[in-house]
Amino acid sequence: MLSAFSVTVLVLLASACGDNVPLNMTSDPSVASDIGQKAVSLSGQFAGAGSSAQKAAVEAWIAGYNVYQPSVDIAYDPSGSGAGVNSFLQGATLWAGSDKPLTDAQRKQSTAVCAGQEAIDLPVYISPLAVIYNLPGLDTAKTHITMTSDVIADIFNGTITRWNDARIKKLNPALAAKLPDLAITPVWRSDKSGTTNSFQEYLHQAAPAQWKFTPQETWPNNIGQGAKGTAGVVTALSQAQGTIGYADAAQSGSLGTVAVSMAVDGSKGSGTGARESVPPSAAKAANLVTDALSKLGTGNDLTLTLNHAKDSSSVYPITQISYSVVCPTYKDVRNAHFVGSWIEFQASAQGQKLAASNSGSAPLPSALTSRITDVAHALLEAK
Amino acid sequence: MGQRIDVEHVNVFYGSFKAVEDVSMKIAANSVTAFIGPSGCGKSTFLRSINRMHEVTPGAHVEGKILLEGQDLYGKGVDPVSVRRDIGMVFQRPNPFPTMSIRDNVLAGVRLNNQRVSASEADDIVEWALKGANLWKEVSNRLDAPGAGLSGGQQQRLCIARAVAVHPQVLLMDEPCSALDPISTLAVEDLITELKEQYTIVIVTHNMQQAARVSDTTAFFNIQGVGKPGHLVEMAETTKIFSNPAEPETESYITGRFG
Amino acid sequence: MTGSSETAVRGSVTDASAQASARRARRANRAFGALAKFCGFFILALLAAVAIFLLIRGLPAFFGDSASIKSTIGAFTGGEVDNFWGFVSPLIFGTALTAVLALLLAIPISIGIALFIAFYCPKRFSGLVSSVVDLLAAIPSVIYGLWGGLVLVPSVFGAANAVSKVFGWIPLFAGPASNPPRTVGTVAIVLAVMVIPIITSVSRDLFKQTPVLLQEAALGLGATRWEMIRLAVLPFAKSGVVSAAMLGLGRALGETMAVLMILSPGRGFSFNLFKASQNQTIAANIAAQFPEADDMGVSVLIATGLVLFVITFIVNFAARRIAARKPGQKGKGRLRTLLGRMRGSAKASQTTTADVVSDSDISSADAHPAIDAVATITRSSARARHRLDVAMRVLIYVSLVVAVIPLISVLWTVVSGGIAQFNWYFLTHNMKGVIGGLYPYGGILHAMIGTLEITGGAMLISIPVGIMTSVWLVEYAQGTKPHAVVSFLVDVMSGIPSIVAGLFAYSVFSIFFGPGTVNGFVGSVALSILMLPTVIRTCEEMLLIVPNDLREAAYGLGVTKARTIWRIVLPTALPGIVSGVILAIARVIGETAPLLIAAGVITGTNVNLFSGRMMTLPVYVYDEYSQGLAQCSAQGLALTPPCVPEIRMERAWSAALVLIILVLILTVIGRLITRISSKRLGK
Repeated sequence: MLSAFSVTVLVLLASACGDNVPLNMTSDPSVASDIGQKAVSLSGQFAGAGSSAQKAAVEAWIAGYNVYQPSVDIAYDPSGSGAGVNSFLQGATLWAGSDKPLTDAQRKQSTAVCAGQEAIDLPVYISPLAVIYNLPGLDTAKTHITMTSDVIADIFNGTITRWNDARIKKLNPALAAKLPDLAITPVWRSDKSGTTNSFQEYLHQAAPAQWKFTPQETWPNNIGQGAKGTAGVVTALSQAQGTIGYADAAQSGSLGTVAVSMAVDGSKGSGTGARESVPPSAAKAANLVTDALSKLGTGNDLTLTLNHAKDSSSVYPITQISYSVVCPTYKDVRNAHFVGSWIEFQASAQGQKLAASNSGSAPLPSALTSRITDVAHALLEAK
Repeated sequence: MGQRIDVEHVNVFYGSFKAVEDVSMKIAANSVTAFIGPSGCGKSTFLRSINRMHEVTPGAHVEGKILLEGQDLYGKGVDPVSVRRDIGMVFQRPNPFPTMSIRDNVLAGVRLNNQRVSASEADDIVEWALKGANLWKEVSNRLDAPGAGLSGGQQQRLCIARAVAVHPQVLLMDEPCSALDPISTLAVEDLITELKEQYTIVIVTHNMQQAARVSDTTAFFNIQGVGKPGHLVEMAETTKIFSNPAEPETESYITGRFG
Repeated sequence: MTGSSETAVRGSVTDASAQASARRARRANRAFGALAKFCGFFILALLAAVAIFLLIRGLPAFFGDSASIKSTIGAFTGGEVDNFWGFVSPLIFGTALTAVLALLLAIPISIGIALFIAFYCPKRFSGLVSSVVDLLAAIPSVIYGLWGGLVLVPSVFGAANAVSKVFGWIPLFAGPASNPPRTVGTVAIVLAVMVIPIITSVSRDLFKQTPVLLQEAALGLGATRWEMIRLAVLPFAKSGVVSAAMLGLGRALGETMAVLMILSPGRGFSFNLFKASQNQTIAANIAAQFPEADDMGVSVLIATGLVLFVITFIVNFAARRIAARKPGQKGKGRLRTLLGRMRGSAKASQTTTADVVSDSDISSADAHPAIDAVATITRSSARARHRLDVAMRVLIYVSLVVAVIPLISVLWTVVSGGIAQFNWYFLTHNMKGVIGGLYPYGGILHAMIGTLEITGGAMLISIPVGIMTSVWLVEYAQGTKPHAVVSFLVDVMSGIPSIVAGLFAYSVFSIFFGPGTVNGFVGSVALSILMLPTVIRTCEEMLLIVPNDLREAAYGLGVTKARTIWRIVLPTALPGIVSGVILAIARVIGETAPLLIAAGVITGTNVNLFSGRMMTLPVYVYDEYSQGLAQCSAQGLALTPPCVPEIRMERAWSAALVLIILVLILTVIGRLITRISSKRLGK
C-alpha cells in the first residue's frame, strides 16, 4: 500500500517536475467566462496533433490556457497535418491541426469518432507567407523588392532567371542599380506541406497564365533547390546569395521579403491604375480572410476559400489559414468540455494576441471569433 | 585408492575419420602409465577418450569398451559428465579459472557440481588438495589471490589440486609439463610419483626421458602414414620398453631414428 | 581418505543425493541448451518478421486500390509519376549513387589511416589515434546532419565551383555548381566521414594481423616500407578490406538524417555531383514524407523501405561471401611458393638476391602480384623507389589529417554552439510552458528521461536475447548449418537501415494495437533491432576469446555444459560483453529517424514507457532545429532576460552537446573495460 503510494507520488513528481513557469502570463478578464474563473475546473490529459505551422501558436495557447485551467495537461505533437488528421480520425487525439480542410472521404470517416456527426474545420490561425530573398547590399529592414504576382510566378517557374531582369528592374526603379547580375535560385519545400499548397493556391489564382500547375502540397518542378521544413528553406536561403523562397513571414529573420504590387483601392480595373507595394502584413492578411467570410454558410463547419486573386492594396494576397479540426460532439462529455474551452481560448482575443506575438500570425477577424465561440458553447454545454 | 582400467578394442573417430584404431590394454590400479609416440599418433586423442572428453568435439565418437573396475564407461545410459567426475584431467597448458581465487579454483569442481560443503569442510578440502599437490606451503598465506597470478609451475600444480579435490579414481595428464620450465617439471614429476599411491595415473608425454623417470608402464603409439589412424604398437614395463623393446618400430622411435 | 571402495561410475552409484543432484544438473543442462537454441532461432524469426511486417504493411502499395495508389504516388511526385516502380527507381539510383560516392571517398582514406596506425604510427600513440578515429563513429547522425547542413554546405561552394569550372567537361562535374551546394557531392563527403571509422577499424585490425612472416619476407628482399605494404599486407587483407567496405556501404545506404538535412532532392537519374535537385535517397524520402503521409502514403513509403531492406540484404550477403574467403591461407601459400622458389634457386646457383628471382623462375601460369612485384623491385632504380615510398608516406599522413579535420570541426561547432544554453536549468527542465523565445527557455529533462527509458527498454530486450544467441552460436552450434544461417542473418540484421527498423516497429504495433500507436516502447523495439547484432557479434567474439582450455578444465571436473557456460565461460567473457553492450548502447542512443516515427515528439515529461509519446535527445535536437527562428516582439527583446530569436538553434546545439558527451562517456567506459579485460585474460 505504502509502496504503491510512494511510487505514485514519485511518478507524479517526475512528470510534473521540470515544467517551466512562463512569466508575464496574466488572465484577461475579457476572455469568456467559460474559461475564466467562473468555469467548471477541468482536469486531465488531452492530446492533439497535426500541423507544424501552428506549433508556435499552439505553444502560446497552451501556456495561456493553463493560466485558467492549471490542471489540464495538453500535449500537441507537430507531426504534420496528414499524421495529425489520421490520428484524429483514429480517435487517438481529440483535435487536429491541419493546413487544409478535411476531404469528403475524411469527413465521412470522422463520424466514427464524432458520435455520428461529421467533424468540422475551424480556422484558428492566419499567417502571412512571405517571398523571402537573399541579396547583398540591400537594407532589408527598410526596403522590399516589389513584384507583381506574375513576376513571382515566372521566377518560380524558371522563366525569369536573373536578378537584373528587365521586368524586376521596371517594378523597382529605385533599386534598379543595386540589382546584381546574379542567377536566381528558387528554394521550395521538399516535403509535403500545407505552406506549399497555400503558396500555389495564390500563384494559381493570382497568375493563372504563368502558374499552370494545379495547387497541391508537393512542389511541382525541379527548378532551384528543395529543403525540408521551414527551417531547411530559411537555412538554404541564408547560405547563398541570389536565392528566393517562400515561408511564414515571421521566419524571414534578417532576410529580405518581397512586397506584392497591388492595385490601390478605388482604381482597380484600369491598367494604369495606381499601385501600391504591399509587404507581408498580418493585418492585411486578416483582411483577406475577412473578405472570404461572406461566403461562409450557416453550419458549424467554417472552411474558408480565400480569393488570392483579389487585387487590392488593402489585402496581402499570400495568406495561409490553418484549422483546428474538431468534432461538434464527443462521446465522452469530458472531452467535449475540454475541446469547447480549448477552441474558445484559441479564438479569443487574448488567445489570438498570444499567438500573434509568438508566431507572427494575424489575429482572427471578430466575426470568425464569434462563430467559433458559438461552436465552443455548444460543446461546453454538452451533457 | 585408484582403480584399474581395461580397454577392449577401442576405435576413436572424428566423424567418419578413424583417428585411433583397435586399442586394447590393461592399466593397473595405482600405477603410472605413460603414452609415448610421435606427433599425431593419436595418443592424446586416445587419452581423451578415457574420460569421454573426446565427445566434446561435435561428431566425435568411440567404438569399443573402456572398463573402470569392470564398469563400462561407454555403456548404455552412462552420462559422460559423471564419468568425468571419476576421472580427472590435467592439461598441457595450466588453465586455472581466471575469474577465481586460488581457493575457489581448488573448490571449483566441488562447487560447480552443487555439492554442498560447509565453510570448514571447504577449508579442509582446500588444504588437503593443495598439500597433495605440493603447493600448500607456497600459497597458504594468499589463498584469495587470483589463480592466474601464480607462476607456470604453480598454476599447473593448482590445476592438479583442483583435479584431485573431487576425489577421482584416475588422473589423466596430457603432456602436463610441456609448457613448464625444467625446475617446475621436476616438481610436477615428483608430485606424480607421490600421487600414484592414491590414484591411477595415465600420462601422455613427448619426452621419453620423462616417461622413463616417472612411469611404471609405457605404451608406444605410432601412425603408419598421413591420414591413417594411430594404433598401439607395444605396451610393457617401462624398463623393458626402454632397454629391450619387442617391436622394431618401438626401437626405432626410442633410439631416435624418427620422431 | 575418501573414495577407497566406492564403485566406479557415480552416475550409476547408490549415492542418492549425488544421483539427484546429477539428475537436476542434467535437466538444467538440457533446459539451458534448449533456451540457447531458441534464441538462435529467434533471430531467424525476428528477421523473417521484419520482412513479413514490412510486406504486410507495404502490400497495399502493390495490390491495393489502384486509383488510390495512383493519386498517392502522384501526390508524392507532383503529378509526374503514378506507379510504384516509376516512383522508387530514381530513389534506388540516388541511394546507390550517394553510397558509392561516399565509399570511393572513404576507402582510400580509411586504408591510409589504418596503414598509418598499423605501420607508421609510434606504438604508444596508436591506441590514441585509433580512439580518435573511433570518435567519428560515436557522433550521432543528426549531429552530422546539422553540421553538414549548416557548416559544411556553405564552405564547400568555393571548391565545388572551382572543380566544375576546370573539369566541367566530365559529366560528373558539369557546372554551373549550385549555390548553396546542397548536392550529392556534399552528401557524399558527410557520408564518407561517417563510414570512415567503420572501414578503418576493420582494416586496422586486419593489417595488424598480417603475419610477421610475410612482412619480414618482403623486407628481407630489400623492400621499402611502402613496397612491403603492397607486397605483403594489402594482398593479405584484400578480401577483409572489401568486406569492410561493403559494411560501410551498408551503413551509407541506410543513412537518413544527414541526407535529409543536406540534400536538395530531385526525382532524376543524374550523375552530376555539383548540381542540386537531381537525386533523392530512399531513406531520406521516407523521413521527409512520413509525417504528412496518409494511410496509403504510409504503405507506399514502407514499400520503399522494403526495397531498401532488400538492397542492404544483398550488399551484406556479398560482403559475407567475400569475407568468407580466408585470406590468411592463400597469402601463406603464396608466400611459401615464393620462398621455396627463392630457396631453391639460391641453393642451386649461390647467386645474389637480385638474381634469385629471375625471369626463368617466374612462370606465368603461377603469376602472383607479389612475385611480379619482387621482380619489379629488383629492377627499378633505388631512388625512384625511395621517392615513391616518401610520396606514399605523405599521402598516408594526409589521409589521417583529412579524417581528423571534420571531427574537430564537428566538435567545435557543437561545443561553441551549445555552450549558450548548457546550464543546470537546461538539464533539469522540460519544454512544457515554454513560449517561443521568451524566458524561461526550457530544457531537455524530458528528453533525457525518454532516452534513458527507451534505451533501457531496448537493453532489456536485446541483452538477454543477444547473449543467449551468441552462447548458442559459439557453444552449441559451431560448424553446423544452422550456425552459418543464423550468423549470416545476424550480419544481415546489422545492415538494417535504422529507418527500416523504425518502420518495422511502427508496423508491428499498428497491426496489433491500432494504427498510429506511438509510445516509448515502440521506440525500444526499433532500437533493440539495431542493438541486437552488435551485442551478438561482440558477445560472440568475447566467447571465442575464452580459451578452450577453460571449458575443458571444467568438463574435466565433471561439470555440465550449461554450468560451464554459465559459471566459467560467461563470467570470464563478462567484461568484454559489458563493453560490447556499452558500445551498442552508444550507437543507438543517437538514433533519430526510427524514433521520430516510433516515439514521436512531446513537450512534457512522460515516464510511462508504454503509453504516450516520449521525447528523446536526438529527436529533440532535430525538432528544435526544424522550428527555425522564434518570433520576438520589441517588448520581448527588451525584457530581462530577453526574448531570444535564435533560441531554438541554441537549444538544439546544447542538446547535441549533451548527446555527444553522453556518447563519448559511454564509448570511453566501454573501451576502458575492454582494455582491462584483455589485460586480465593475458592478451
